Amino acid sequence: MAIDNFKEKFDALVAKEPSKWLEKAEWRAANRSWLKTSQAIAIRVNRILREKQISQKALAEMLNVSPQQVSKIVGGRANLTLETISKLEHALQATIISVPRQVTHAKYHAEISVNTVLDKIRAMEKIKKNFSEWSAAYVQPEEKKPVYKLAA
Amino acid sequence: MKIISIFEINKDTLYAVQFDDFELDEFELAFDQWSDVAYLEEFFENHKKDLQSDFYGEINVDDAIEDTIAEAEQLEDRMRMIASGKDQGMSLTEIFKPLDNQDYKQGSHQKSKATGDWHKSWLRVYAIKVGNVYVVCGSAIKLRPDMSDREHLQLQLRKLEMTKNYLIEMGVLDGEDFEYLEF
Repeated sequence: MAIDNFKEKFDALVAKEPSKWLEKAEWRAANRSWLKTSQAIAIRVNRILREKQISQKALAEMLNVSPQQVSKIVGGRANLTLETISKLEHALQATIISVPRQVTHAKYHAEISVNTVLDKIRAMEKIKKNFSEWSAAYVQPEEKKPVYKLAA
Repeated sequence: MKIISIFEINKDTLYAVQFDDFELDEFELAFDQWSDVAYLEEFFENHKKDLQSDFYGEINVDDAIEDTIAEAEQLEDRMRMIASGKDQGMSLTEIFKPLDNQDYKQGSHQKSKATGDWHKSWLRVYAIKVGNVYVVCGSAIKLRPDMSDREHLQLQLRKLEMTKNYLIEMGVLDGEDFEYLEF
């Protein structure tokens, strides 16, 4: 059986302040890109804390930060600086993030070019040396022609 | 207990309860928890046996955390679209399903659940539906097919009952309607 004036009665129960969900949802969506990295770091930090049996409180003391700040880090909501990441790695004695090193295209070609030039120089020096040895063995030096001068 | 408005669009309206001694309403709490790595890590570590059961197959805790966050983002995006009224083709009726998996008929007064988009989704939002009004009462990560054998899932059932009783007490619901739709 339907209640008479249901919506009217229901609305009377509703608090004046709306939910903060939408505001938070908009923030999460707008900051999703860096939050993904923060969450990945948090997964790694939580794994290390569990394996090494370190409490959040102890981590806060190690980092000399508030428990609220540690809560944000392990929750994946902290926009971490490189300095904080470095402190985390030092405190946990573990690598938290690593940056892949890559031989750049230009550097690769520069190395190839240098090596190629050096190889060519070495090859030319070898040819030059071989030619000198060969010529010394088989080529007769030209005879010196006498120089005639009129007598005074 | 008090009732908090989440958003209101056209004929569909979404509300959530905020239980005494809680700082957040149940809808806000759900998405806060599902984006909190520390909360998810502790939950999956405590329910590792269920997580790695035959129901979901082999999945480690770290992957479960990532999957949950990604799934919650999809669900939250969908709810934001509805809240903004940008997607006219989508409504709460399409998101909330009857709680009992055997009952696919949506009546006017029933206990409902919303689930994430992914296949075999384990995210749940529990609500009581009254006419076109949905009142969110709780949420859970459901790793078991049955709600009755895990404490955190039983708690959600109790929250549904508490909300129903509150609405009856306040003269908004007729108890008979709930008896009719009890699952």
